[in-house]
Amino acid sequence: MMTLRRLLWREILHRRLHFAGCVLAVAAAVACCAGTVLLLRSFDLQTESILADKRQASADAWAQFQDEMRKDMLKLGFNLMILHREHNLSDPEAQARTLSEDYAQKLAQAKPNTINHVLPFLQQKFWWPERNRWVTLMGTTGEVYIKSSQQKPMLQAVPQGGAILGYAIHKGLALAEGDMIEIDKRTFRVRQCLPKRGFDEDERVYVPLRAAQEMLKRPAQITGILAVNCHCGDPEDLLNIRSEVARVLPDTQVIEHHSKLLARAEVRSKSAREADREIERQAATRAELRRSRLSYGALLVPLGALGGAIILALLTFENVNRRRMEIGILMALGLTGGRIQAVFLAKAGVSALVGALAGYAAALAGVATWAPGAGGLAALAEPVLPLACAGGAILLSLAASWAPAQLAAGMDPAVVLLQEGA
Amino acid sequence: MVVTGSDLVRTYGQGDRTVRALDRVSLAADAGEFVVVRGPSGCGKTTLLLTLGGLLAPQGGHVELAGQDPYALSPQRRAELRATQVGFVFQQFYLVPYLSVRDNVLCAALAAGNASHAQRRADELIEQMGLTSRRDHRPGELSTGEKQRTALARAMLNRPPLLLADEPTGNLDEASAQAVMDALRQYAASGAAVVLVTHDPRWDRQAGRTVRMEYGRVVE
Ligand SMILES: Nc1ncnc2c1ncn2[C@@H]1O[C@H](COP(=O)(O)OP(=O)(O)O)[C@@H](O)[C@H]1O
Ligand SMILES: [Mg+2]
Repeated sequence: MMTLRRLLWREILHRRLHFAGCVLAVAAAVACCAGTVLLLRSFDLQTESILADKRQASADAWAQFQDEMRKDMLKLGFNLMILHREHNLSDPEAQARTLSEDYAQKLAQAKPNTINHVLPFLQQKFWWPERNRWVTLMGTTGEVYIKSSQQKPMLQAVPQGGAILGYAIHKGLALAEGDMIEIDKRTFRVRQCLPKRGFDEDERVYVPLRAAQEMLKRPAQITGILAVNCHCGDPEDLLNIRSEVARVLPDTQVIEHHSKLLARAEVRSKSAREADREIERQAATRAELRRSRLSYGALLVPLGALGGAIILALLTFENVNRRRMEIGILMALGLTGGRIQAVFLAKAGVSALVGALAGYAAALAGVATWAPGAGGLAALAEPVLPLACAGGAILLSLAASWAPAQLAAGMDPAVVLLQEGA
Repeated sequence: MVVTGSDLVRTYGQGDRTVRALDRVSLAADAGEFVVVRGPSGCGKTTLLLTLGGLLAPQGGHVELAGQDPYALSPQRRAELRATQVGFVFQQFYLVPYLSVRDNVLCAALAAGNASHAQRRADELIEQMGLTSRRDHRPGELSTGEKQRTALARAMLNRPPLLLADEPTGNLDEASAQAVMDALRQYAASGAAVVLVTHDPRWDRQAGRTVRMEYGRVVE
């Protein structure tokens, strides 16, 4: 049966190039819009994955940093020594200045951020009359403060009535665990013989603090406090420890045995911080790139839509003009202007649908080329985009061909037929 | 009367260049009548046909088509009136270039309200016009005689009571022209009013009635 639809298809098939032109115009407009949306979306997806990688790298760097610092600390043992301000380390013969025993308690109660082991000690050269030799007598309590209950004490307290002997002592005097010894008329049981550590440490005899205080005649006095300045958080806290200790414990000096460690900590923390800064830099760069792409898009979308609409309008005008005679005779045969207009608008609609399909496919292909990998994900992330393209294309096509279709509808068949006949 | 035009006036242009294409022309055609309007080129024949057929409103006078004044109707109703009451044939055929012979014939059914009998009628007319072997050809593949017979079939598809033919034989050879004239006469004989306008005196004999026109006036 002859219908307007058949008329439409026949005309499209007859003038394929014209139809292809209409489709291309719509496709170009749709490709500009959909391409912009898809490119932006795939850009965002890329940004997300890049930043996620960087974040992971930063987290890894921090984790590694902390892990290594913890290991270093374990190897290092006590790395802080708090002594009287006037204690002269370079002159071992000088009369050592001592601190009040309660300083250890004070420090523990102040809970400085980075200190988690506190060990008060009293240490002095001591003549061991029974054995006829100098030793370094070292009196310690157990640790008075352990920051976290999970942490093992760095040094076990010397049990009451016990002594721990440095390497040079037990080797030199052929002593073993369990032996009973006498020091200045006090009896101790050897609880532990330490392995070789080197120099001064091997010359030590560890006894309970109370015993040492009595033997050295320094009641309630300590030489100093050994502490572990741990690197648990911000490495800058390490650097603030002096002022913090000075605030809590007046008239003290802090001696740090961890300058190498500190240097390494600084390098590592720097690289971890660098990883953080890299995230910020990367985020800023991506944001800047996105802005510039957005501004291109803001130009491309209206240009594409407008260009497509203008070309489509011109092509439809050309179509109407070329089909004047046809329009005239169909009107003479009784077709109303409205139905003539419908033929042209329907053609625009068909061009729009085919063009939207082609344009969306082109946009997908383009994004797949320019942003490999992210293109498909971007398309999945924008599920309504194809529908929006189809709807937008139809609106654009109808708007663009409205005027020419109106012109066709308003044609006077008599004028056309008189002119064509002339 | 199928169609009556009385005192029709139509001018083109303005001022010095005013052309009186119809100057108080009156013409009527009854059912079964074959009227030939003969006049030289430019005397207003096409203008008269378009006016009678409800396509061109006269500036003066009155047209009555199937008992109605087409120019008093809304454009929609007038289009409807044309679709059902009038068939047109033109010297230039005015076939739709991308449609087959059959589809061109069926174009007349686009507006007139489609019915399955339109297809049967189209096939009958195509056979009657000797176009059966050309049914699926496009106008570009037809001879001028075949084109005009296609146009004739289209004009007759809805069995309009009035058939208006504007120099239908102008572009045809003798034999084709005669075939078209025969078909028109036959159509008139079947009970329709046929008005044919031509500059060619050859067809005077074949007309039921001949009217002569000159300078926008009926002279006989
Ligand atoms: N649109 C028009 N504008 C100006 N003059 C016209 C127009 N259409 C027709 N004419 C003039 O009106 C006269 C009658 O034209 P027409 O009806 O086509 O005559 P015919 O069909 O007899 O050749 C002619 O002189 C023609 O030049
Ligand atoms: Mg003429």
